[in-house]
Amino acid sequence: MAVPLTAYLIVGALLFGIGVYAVIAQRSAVMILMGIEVLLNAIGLNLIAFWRFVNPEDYSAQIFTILIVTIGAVEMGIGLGIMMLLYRNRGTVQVDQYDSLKG
Amino acid sequence: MTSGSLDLWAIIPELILAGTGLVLVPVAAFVHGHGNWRYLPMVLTVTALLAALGFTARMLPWEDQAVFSGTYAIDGFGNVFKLILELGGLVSLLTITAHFRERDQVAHAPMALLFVTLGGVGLVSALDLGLIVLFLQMLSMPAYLLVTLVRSDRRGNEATLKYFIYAAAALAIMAYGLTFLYGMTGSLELRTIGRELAAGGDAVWVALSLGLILIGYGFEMTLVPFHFWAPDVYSGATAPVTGFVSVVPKVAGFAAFLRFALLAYPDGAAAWPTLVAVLAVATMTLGNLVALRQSRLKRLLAYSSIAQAGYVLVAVAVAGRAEDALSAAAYYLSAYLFMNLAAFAVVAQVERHRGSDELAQYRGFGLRAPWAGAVLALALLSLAGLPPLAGFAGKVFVLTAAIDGDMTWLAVVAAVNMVIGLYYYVAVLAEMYLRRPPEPSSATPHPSGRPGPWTPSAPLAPGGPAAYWPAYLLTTAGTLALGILPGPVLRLLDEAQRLVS
Repeated sequence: MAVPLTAYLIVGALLFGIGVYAVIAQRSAVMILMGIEVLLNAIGLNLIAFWRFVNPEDYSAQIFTILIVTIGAVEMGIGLGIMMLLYRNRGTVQVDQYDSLKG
Repeated sequence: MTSGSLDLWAIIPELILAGTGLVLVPVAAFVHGHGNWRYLPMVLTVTALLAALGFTARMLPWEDQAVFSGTYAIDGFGNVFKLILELGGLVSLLTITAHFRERDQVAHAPMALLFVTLGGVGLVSALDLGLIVLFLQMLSMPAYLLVTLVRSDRRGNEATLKYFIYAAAALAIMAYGLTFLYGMTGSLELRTIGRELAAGGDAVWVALSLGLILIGYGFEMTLVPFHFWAPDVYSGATAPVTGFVSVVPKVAGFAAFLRFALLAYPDGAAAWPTLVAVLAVATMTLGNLVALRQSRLKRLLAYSSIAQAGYVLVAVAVAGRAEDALSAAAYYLSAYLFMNLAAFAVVAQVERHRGSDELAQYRGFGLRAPWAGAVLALALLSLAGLPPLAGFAGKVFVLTAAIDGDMTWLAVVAAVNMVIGLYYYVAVLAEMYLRRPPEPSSATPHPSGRPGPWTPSAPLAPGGPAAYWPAYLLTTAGTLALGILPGPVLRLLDEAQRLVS
């Protein structure tokens, strides 16, 4: 057990920071979607690290992690579906081009 | 608690909704473009929602218990909010059907609506962090489909994109906060988390997790500062969908947050009541002030619904302290359901006939269409909180709860906000009744008899407002009943005080 819990949490926090930055700063909807996937990976890493160090006898956190992975896949599916639709209608998925709803 | 067993008897309403929803996936594709068969999914969905309402009502007197190994609560609180959600789905479905009649959307909308309702119903009962995340996802995903129901609708497309990005990001940030709850307590179950945190948790981490989790719930409840998506999504979606999206996910978000905060953060841990009170002030003040400057009715109602969320939040803030806070919140949300859906039903009718929700379209509307005008007027007066309508009774209960819970200052701020809110609701009424209808040409019916390929920016063939009447009658009856006879409703909603512990 050479690697302490804190190390995992720091990597998790870094992933979280990268994900949030991508969601806020990226202009392409596909890149924002990637940022959200990074966020989900931060969650998975945190959960598995906590499971290993806090409560290794109970497997519920592993189920939760599988759930998060599934949600990531579903989100990718529906997100890319929406973006395909938008691209067909407008020819772009740059979010700053979508500014007709204002006021 | 029967541990480890499959307690299917306890989730009959959920099973009905889920079963019907799954059947509708192939059925909706099959009836697509088959004349009147298009209404089959709607009929099935209404039947399913009525059956679910009936079973949920029968479950009201049941003893509080946690089924499925303690991950799913069957209690008075859950059942009351399930009734509200199922009713919201039912009323919205009537408006959506009326709005999209003779269109293929009428075949696809019920399936998505059913799954959103099911997500909400599951969310108010979930006691496990995994289930909460799953049901939150279920609450949002079919709603994206509803918002972009008309695929060629560019405003709807844009609204969906914004809805999707904000929802996915908010959920991910919230789930990240949930991992810290697991890390501190080693459990995913809300009541165990609550016990462990009450026994002692690091204050910094408890506060951090609460802050992250509040982003997810705040998104669903449209709290300032997590409300950015709401005005865009509400004004980009078609009006009946906006009504649905502004009611069912929001009610579910409130109920879920109440259960979460009361169970996982007992005795106001991490000062969440104070935090929620501050958010309530920000939400109602900003919602009301921005609503004052809107020139489109859907956007005005979007900010109004943000302000309304602020009023409900007043009851949430005192939920752990005042005895009647939970039933006050349930009462206000029921009232909000009826008055908001009534308003959006009329907006839907006008949108279908005029292709616009500009306030200018409502000039003289009360004189031109007296009955629909009366429905909208009652809804707006109720939202503003005038007696003897539902909104008035709801506001009285919320303010009383705030005073009982030693947050008199919050009640005062809310009361001041209600006075500000009065102004923009009355401004719409003035437009409807005091201004002359503009030119006669706008009153002539659309030339084409049968609707052709449709873009929402072009007006639809009128075809009479008769289709909207079921929704009008139901919502107006609810608005009046909750205002005039609050007693019986309040006795029913008192069941919401029973929370599994």
